[in-house]
Amino acid sequence: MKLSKDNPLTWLASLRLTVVLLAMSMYLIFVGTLAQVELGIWQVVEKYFRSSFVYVPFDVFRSLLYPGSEETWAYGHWFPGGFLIIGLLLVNLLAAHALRYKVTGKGNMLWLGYGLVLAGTSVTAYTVLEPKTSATIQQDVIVMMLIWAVPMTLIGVGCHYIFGSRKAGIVLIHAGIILMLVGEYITGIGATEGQMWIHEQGASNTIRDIREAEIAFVRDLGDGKEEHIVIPQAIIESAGENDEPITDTTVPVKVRVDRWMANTEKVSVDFEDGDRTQLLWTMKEKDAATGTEMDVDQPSVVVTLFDGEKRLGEYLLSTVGTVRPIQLELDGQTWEVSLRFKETHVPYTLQLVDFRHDKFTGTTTPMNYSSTLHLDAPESGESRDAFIKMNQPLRYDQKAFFQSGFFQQSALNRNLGTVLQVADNPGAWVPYLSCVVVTVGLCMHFVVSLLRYERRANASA
Amino acid sequence: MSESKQDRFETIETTGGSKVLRALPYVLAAVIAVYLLMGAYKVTQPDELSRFHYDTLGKVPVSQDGRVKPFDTVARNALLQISQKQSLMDEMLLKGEGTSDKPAVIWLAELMAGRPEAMQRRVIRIDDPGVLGLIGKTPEDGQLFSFGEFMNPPSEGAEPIYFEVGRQAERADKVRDDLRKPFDEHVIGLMRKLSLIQRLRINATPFVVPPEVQGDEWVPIVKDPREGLNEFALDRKAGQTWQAMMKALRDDNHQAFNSALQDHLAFKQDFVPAKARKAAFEQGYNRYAPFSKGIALYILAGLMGLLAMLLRPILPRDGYTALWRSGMAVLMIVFVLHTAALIVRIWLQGRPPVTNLYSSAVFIGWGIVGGAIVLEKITKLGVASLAASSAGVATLLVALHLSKDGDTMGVMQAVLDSNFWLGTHVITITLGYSATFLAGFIAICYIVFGMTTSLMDRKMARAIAGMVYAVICFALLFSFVGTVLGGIWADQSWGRFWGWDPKENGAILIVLMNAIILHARWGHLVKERGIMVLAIGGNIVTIWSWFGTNMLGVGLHAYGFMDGAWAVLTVIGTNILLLMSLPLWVPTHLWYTNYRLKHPPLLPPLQQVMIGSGLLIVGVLTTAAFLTMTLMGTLNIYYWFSAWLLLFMMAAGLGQLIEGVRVCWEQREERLKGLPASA
Repeated sequence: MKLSKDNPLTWLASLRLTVVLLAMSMYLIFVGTLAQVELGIWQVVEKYFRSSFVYVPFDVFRSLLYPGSEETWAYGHWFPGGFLIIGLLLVNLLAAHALRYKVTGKGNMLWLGYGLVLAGTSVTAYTVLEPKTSATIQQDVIVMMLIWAVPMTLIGVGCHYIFGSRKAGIVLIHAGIILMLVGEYITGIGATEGQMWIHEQGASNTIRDIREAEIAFVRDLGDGKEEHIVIPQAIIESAGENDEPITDTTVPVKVRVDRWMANTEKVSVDFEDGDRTQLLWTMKEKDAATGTEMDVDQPSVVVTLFDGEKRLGEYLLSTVGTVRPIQLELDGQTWEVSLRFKETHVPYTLQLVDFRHDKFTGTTTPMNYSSTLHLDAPESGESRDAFIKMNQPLRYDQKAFFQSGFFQQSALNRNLGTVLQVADNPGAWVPYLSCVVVTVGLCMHFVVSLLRYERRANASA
Repeated sequence: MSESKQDRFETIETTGGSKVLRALPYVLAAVIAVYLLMGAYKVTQPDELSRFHYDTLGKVPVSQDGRVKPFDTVARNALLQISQKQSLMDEMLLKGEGTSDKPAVIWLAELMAGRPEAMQRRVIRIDDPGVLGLIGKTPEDGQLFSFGEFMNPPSEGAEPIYFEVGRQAERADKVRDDLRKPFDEHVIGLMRKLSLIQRLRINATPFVVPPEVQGDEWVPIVKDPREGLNEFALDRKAGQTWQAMMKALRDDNHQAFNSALQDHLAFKQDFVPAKARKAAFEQGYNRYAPFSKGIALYILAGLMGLLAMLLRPILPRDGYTALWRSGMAVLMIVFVLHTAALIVRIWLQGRPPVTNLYSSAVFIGWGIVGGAIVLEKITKLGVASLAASSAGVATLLVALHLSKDGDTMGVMQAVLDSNFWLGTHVITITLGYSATFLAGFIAICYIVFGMTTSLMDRKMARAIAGMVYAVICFALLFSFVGTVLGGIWADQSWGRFWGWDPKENGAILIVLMNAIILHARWGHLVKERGIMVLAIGGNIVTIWSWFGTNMLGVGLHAYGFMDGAWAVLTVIGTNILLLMSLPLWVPTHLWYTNYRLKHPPLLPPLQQVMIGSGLLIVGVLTTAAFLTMTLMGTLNIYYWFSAWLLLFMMAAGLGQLIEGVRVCWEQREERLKGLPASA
């Protein structure tokens, strides 16, 4: 395709646009970093990187230019968000390939090139799609990367015959980057992350998402079974804003949200009760945890519960561990009501046999954490031990369980149990593959450039 | 100006020329090598001039902060943290005791033995006027104070100042990080110093008794100050001999001290032989101070590179060859020294070379110099040498500064404890930093010398542009692969490939910067000058990623942060921004290099020489004065906002000087030609 200079497609495929977009992404990432001084990392990701447009307050530069100042700066400006910039970069890249990367191969060599690309792609696709090999990807991804290098080299050689030596490497590099962006998109929509807390000698099948809370009504059905009815955070928040009670036939009571607090801490208060002063506690609202603090928001909520039209009372619920759930007696059934981090339950349990936390002699610096677990899956009849430590997760049921930390009784400094980070990411393998694609492409391109440079140098000598 | 002189860098003479000149690089290399080897020999020899064998004491392996290290390292690090200095030379020399390179050991030994003079040594550094006021001092009293001044009651029946400092520090510690005032930070810092001295004084640290049973750990003489001496430790031979040493030192009995020390060390050599060997070696490494020697040699190599670059148009071919080769010889030798020091650290630590900020500085410098040596071998212009040496000096100075934070070979947090990822991701990303810095440093040479001197002829400019392009290609390769490997490490460690945290964002910014430069070049959007400006910009991005993002976490909020590292970064960043923008403001035809292509020199040669030397001398003197005053701590950091001006001044001075000399020389030759040939 040959286009005139004035054609908008030429502009869309231009390197000028590439450079502008790359520069804009640098700016976006920079302000997205500065914003983490004030905002939580997930808020920043949603606002700056997973959005089409973002309003960048000038205030983000305050921490850079006037680090001690407390005064908030006014104004700001609109800027394209991560999705828009990446989308435009993709359009730019595809247009460039459509216009500038022409098939230069001829005859049999061209067909050989197509064949090699097809063969390499099929082998790669097979390794990804075949369940057994994809399990290997999960277990030992480094080995898999080395194996992938082989089909990728085939594809590289194929591209060499199709696009010529100068462009082959670049085609691979760009393909790898597109793959990486696609992988991030899959992660963005499909991945879940959570934590599993297991007490020493205890067992758990519960994964908590510490980024989201829910009000839970839990009833014991006997026989080790429980009924959980939950109200998600989004509904709680909108009910609080609209001042409309939550009524749903599945929820045993009517819930009026009086106050939603996104992040709170427990504080003591003196309560004057006649002539006596009682020491009580309450939840105090505080700023959301920022990205640079690496802390977790602990929301609380004040709700009034109604049984039909009968007012049952006003309650303070919180995710903070020391705030106990409330008990409700309704039609002879006992419900435990609490605000908790969003829970999901898996059809198997992990029992903590032993948790180790070694420190370096004479320091509080952790040397290692590790958990010895017992896995019980009644459905498949699987029952085995598993060992997890830093950089060595347990992979089971498409999920990965990582050693993340521990919880302890701070007064006694006694370890109570382990905290596992649970990740479920259908796109987890994509970055690994794209890393191989880009690396092979970069190596090809630089080798070709070097050879060309040397040839030129020899010719001129 | 003859054509052959223009082409000189392509034709370094490999044969012929004066024999003396040909031998010069080898002689120079031999002299430096002998100097370095002599130094190495010296540290293997015990230096037992004083009555007490402090040198042997320095070898004794002890455990502190989770690592077994020589007593010498403990002493140096402690003194460095408390006083920002590794030695107390002045006071020691006054007393005529010991030589200059081991006072830290003497100070610590006396402190742990409880000798009275330990309380009198002025070792505690206080800069903040508020804290000085708290302890009843003024800036006129100096910056260094003794531990006794805190522990002894100022008057009869009064309370020691130590307690008041403790109370203030406790209060300040409760203030939220972002609300702390400079006074709070400083008083916490002071308390940290005092409690370190206190723990050393009562022998609570370092741990001197090694484990005797598998699975046991090192233990200190005093576990808990409230419980007094640790009976378990005193039952062990190591504990008994240690106590004997301390008692002998207290009693000023050097014979008893030396023999107890002999027993103690012999026991440990017998008991933990591998640790004892490593500790002895580490003491030798400390005494050798390879990076201090490295800084001096890098300066020498840099000056020779500069000379080669400047004198290329003047010198005859064999002279230039000798000069260039000598510079290369120095650079290669200091690179070997740098490499050896890195290898020793790898062996001592049992880890890949980059484990913390300190070692990253050392490794980045190494990477820059290694890359530049290859470039210099190809281009033979002196430019890469000059850039590499400046970078070598800069990174080693940064490292020396960072070493004030404590042990440079400290233990690794559990989450970082993976030699595989430290060896792949960290190394690759650090090499990416190195390459980006190298491109930036070379580009700075291009801009500064191109704007102010007539040295930047077309061939040289093209060669520099080629170097910068090649280095940026490598920078993109390393920074991209390193960033992706980092994502993979994160995915392997906590199941998330990319989390948008500040450090990750910093890494991707470097990748994007390099990608921008390359795409802009491929699209012919920028020419040589534009690429140079962007390459210099790469330095800012890299510094941000290396240091800026770390500071975002600890201190962007904090009060008083501007007196410290943040101010330094601001000054460096502003200077780099000016170096980027000046070449854009000044049209290329006004650059002195381009001006001279079409015009004769502005001034007659003699005036050029005079004005050139004047500029050079003023520039050098001002820089030297700035440096000295900064080292003494009496210069406001903001004076360094003029660093770019000094740089331009010195470069312009050099350019005028060289050009003037050259024109004089040519005129003289013309005159000689004009004379009738005499017999």
